[in-house]
Amino acid sequence: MTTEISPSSPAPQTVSLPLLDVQNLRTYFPIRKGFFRSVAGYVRAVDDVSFTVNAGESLGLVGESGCGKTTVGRTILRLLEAKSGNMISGRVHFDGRDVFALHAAELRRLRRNMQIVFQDPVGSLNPRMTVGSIIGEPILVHRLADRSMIRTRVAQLLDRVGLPSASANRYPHEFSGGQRQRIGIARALALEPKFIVCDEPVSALDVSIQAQILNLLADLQKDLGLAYLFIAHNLAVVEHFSDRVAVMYLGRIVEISDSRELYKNPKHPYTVALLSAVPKPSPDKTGQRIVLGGEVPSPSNPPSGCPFHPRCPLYAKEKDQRCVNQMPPLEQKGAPGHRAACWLT
Amino acid sequence: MTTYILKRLLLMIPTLLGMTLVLFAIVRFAPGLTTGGGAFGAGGEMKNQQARLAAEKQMKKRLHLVDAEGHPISLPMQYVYWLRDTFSGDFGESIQYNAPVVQLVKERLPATIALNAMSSIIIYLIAIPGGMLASVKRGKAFDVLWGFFTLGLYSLPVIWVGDMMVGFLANPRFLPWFPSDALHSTNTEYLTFFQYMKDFLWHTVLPVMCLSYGGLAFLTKLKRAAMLDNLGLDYVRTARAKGLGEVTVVTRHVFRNSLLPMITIFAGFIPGLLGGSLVIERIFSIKGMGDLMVTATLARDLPIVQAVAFVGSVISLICLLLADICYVLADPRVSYD
Repeated sequence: MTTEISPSSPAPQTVSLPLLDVQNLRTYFPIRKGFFRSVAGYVRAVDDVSFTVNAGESLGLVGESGCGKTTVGRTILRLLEAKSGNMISGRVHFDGRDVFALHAAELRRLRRNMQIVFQDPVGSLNPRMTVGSIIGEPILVHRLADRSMIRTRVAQLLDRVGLPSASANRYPHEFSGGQRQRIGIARALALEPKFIVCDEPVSALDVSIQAQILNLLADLQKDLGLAYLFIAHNLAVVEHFSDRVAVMYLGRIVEISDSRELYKNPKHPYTVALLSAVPKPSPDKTGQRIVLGGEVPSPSNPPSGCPFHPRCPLYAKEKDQRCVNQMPPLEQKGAPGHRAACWLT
Repeated sequence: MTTYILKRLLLMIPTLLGMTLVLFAIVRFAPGLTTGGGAFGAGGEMKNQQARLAAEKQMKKRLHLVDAEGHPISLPMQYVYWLRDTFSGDFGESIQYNAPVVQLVKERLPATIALNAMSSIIIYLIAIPGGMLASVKRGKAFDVLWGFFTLGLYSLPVIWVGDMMVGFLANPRFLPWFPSDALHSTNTEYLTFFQYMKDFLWHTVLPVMCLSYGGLAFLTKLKRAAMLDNLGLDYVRTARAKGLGEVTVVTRHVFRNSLLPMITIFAGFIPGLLGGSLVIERIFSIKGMGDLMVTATLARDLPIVQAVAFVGSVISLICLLLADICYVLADPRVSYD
């Protein structure tokens, strides 16, 4: 995949270099067995994933649980390292720099520009630190402001995410789930990053709170020109939010497209099935619900050929041998920028 | 916080009363209660029958076993009298030494406190960094070797280790590196302060090592486990994502969160060390509370046994209070107000 700008992105830069460029990313976790814990195989959590994110754009990453979405996000940020048997390969370029080649000190500087909002707003905040020090710590570590300025800066950030500035002296357990996620967002914003991985930021929240947090994230994107990698398992949430959407299945991207195009005109049978499961707000549009048979195959032993074929309704109909024998390439189908990996569409 | 401490101090009163009741009951119901008199009279020389009886009668009165006319006092009233004496600071007189117990405890307490304070400091100074390092280097050579070493220490009985130390490290026939008994040399009157301190530290090396190694091994394991629990939590990933260096992540975030088990242990730990003192003071012939307790128990010297047990209880209560205060300091979610 070469550089590419999706039509819907604001594309503020004239240079066509994407902010984040991920090529052939693979993350394998070892399966250890026996007394000596020898490696018996690998869980292919992420298997040959490539995509780009442009400045100011948000890319949605969807797929059912266990498909490797979160691992993609963490590998890109190098929160997962090739330690203790983890195998990580491929290239990740952020702002023209090779993320995997950075030394520890350079990596910490990079963290200024790449941040993450975690799924669990409870566990991801240190329970023994005040909100003020949770948000202020990265500012201090990266020397973005001196100690006397930090209180003001923290108050600004809290105000930005819609929390009273008095919250700085309180502890995370004194806040509700939605408020805690706001703290997590303020923390991520503290370093004024260009890019934020949102790792299912709303899946732990009530529906009413979900909308508030999503609107907050959208406002921040508009005002600060942030780029998001928005990881979710809820297609409705992603539709609301993303310029482009990538659908993952069993560690691979099976379809990637402009968001509107994908929802209107899905090309991969898995995407079609996922979309059919989204509840429709209109009673007239009942639509056919596609129920996928069988279990999600194990990522330690994925099926041959197209990993989706054992559950694929199209394969069940057509019994094409290519589906069993050969991995379909992610190639353009339909509109420009719309690519899907399927032999049959 | 102040209100909390005051409340806790008030609550200590019923606890202390309960403890005295148990203590009194155990001591009084123990077999072999003696009021001494003859057997352990002053100087130990045999006295005639009459003098012995007189001394025993005197002691019985002193212990409130009989009233002034020699009529026996009921057990509940004995308790009440004993309680009154104890809380007014009168622990009675030792049958063995013919001296006020308060004076004996005053003489013996400093040695025991010094030994135990030194051991606690050494234990925490080594166990906390040791456990932290082991958790960070989990599965690496240091962790495995250190784990093996501490497990070995934990498994060694202190009686054996103490005897081996005296036998090999304080023995002119092997290595006469350390003195084998007491906490200071004889003829210390002419030493300067620094010479005296040096002499004192030299004498404490072996007993403090004996007192420390078991707790050290235990606390190291505990710290390592607590650190590992926390290292796996989400907020640690957040800290890394902030761009904090690994050292900051471990020392600032994980360290504080893994302190709570260490505090919990602290409450029971100091009283435990005092128990360890019983054995060690005997092995190294140190005139401390432990030695006092052992000899008093063997001689059935009732007032001393009661007094030492009482002092031990009070120390335990104080440690519990300190631990609770430390909880508040270490964990802001704990609030007692």
